[in-house]
Amino acid sequence: MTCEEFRRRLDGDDPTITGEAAAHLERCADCRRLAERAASTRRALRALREEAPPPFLHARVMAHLRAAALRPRWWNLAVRPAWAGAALVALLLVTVSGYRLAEWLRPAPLPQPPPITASDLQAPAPAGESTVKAAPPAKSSAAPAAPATRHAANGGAVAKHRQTAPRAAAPSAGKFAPAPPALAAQREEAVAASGGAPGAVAADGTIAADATGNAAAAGELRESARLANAAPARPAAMAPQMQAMAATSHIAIACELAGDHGVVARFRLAPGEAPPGAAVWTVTVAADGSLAVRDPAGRDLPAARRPVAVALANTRLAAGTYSLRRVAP
Amino acid sequence: MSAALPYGDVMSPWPSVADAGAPPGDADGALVARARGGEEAAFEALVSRHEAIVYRTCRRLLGDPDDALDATQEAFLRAYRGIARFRGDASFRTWLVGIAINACRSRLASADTRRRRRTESLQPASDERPDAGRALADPAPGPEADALGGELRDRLVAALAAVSPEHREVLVLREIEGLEYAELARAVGVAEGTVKSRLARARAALRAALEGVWP
Repeated sequence: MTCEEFRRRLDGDDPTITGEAAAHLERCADCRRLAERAASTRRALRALREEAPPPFLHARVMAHLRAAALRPRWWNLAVRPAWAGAALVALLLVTVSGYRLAEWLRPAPLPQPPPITASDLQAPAPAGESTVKAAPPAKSSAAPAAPATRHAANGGAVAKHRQTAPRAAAPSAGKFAPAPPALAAQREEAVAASGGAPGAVAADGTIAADATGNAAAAGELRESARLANAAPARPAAMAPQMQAMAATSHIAIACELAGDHGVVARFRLAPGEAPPGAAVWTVTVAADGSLAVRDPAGRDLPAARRPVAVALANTRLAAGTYSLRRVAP
Repeated sequence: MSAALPYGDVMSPWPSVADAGAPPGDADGALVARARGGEEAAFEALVSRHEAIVYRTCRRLLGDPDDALDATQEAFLRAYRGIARFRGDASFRTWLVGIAINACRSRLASADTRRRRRTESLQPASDERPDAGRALADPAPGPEADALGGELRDRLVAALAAVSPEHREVLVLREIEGLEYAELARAVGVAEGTVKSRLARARAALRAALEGVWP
């Protein structure tokens, strides 16, 4: 027996050494050492069997068994990391698409009111108008009503309107939606009725002073125009007038001022200040801007001078003679 | 998520070779019948009878004690769920060890376990120390275990971890657990002749791994 044959036998399934193998060991020291190492290795391996498992093994196995056996099989699939990751992605997709679907199914949003501007905050809304403002805008074409109404009811906005759109036919522009004709008219009469200026009015029709006591010039058209322009700066003084305007605007009389080439201004006057019936008053504008109002008989009407002057405060009129009459209904 | 393994599936029909080396299986047979009937206590008795060999096998095949515990739990769970498919032409122990080996193969095939094995199994874990492990877990070690010094034991474990998993399987089942060839062949899922030749190569590989570190 060669050393190679002996090693094969040593690694084979019968490790007992008898006969030829024993005779080979007698002669070969290397193979003898090899056989001793093989035997000690086998003993050492068998010794590993004697090592007891951890004492908690049984409890752990049974706990795992009970926990897992109570769960359906799909759960054990689901908790595997790959499946859990896929499930997470799927859940995310479902959530996002569901949200999109909900967005798509949601009814169209109601029209948003215009943003509140600083001028909106300067004067409290008149009591009479608050109900209009609070009413929710309808979904149909009447949607812009709320912004326009607010615009008309607001002192600061009124003054702005007087500056930028003195001609009644031109509605206010800008970010607000154009007001329907009825609302434009309401805004006009609001402007006319309020007088637009914070000054206290004396019996002779001249403007004496504003509520803060700062206003100086009285009776002058230019001064009243200045006060009207400065109105947004004095919201506290304007508020009572705005309330008066709100109370009277529904009975104000639409009037127009016509020159040689046609109508130059439209505005509203209180019933007691407008020409009665079909009467035509004559308005004379002097070179210095002062004006006089006369009835058809040529009598001076000092009481009418002030409201007409205020209504025309922002209208640039050439010196001359104009006729003032009610607008034909 | 079954790993592609060259060994075949433990659930595949067993070769109908007489199970010469099976341990006394009468008690197992009765317990298996009761466990199939849904009796949990019967299955727990089967766990008690075989948990040690399953854990040891997993421990030697995987190296890491935590991995071994996980694989042991997994093997018993698979056995619990598959007990209706257990036909009884092999011993329950053989069948169970085959399941455990498949569980270990799956773990070895995963990259994560492979990484941990590289770093941990070649260094004997703390519970491998005889003074720590034996005092706690092995209150009555046999004379051979006493004779085997801690250092030699660690060298042996390291050499075992160094051989290929295929060789380790047969070494563990034959040299440590003492399974007969027929039972080993069934558990590993190859023919008996293949086991013999594989075992011879495995011994040579172990001898080579012990070269220079074994007296």
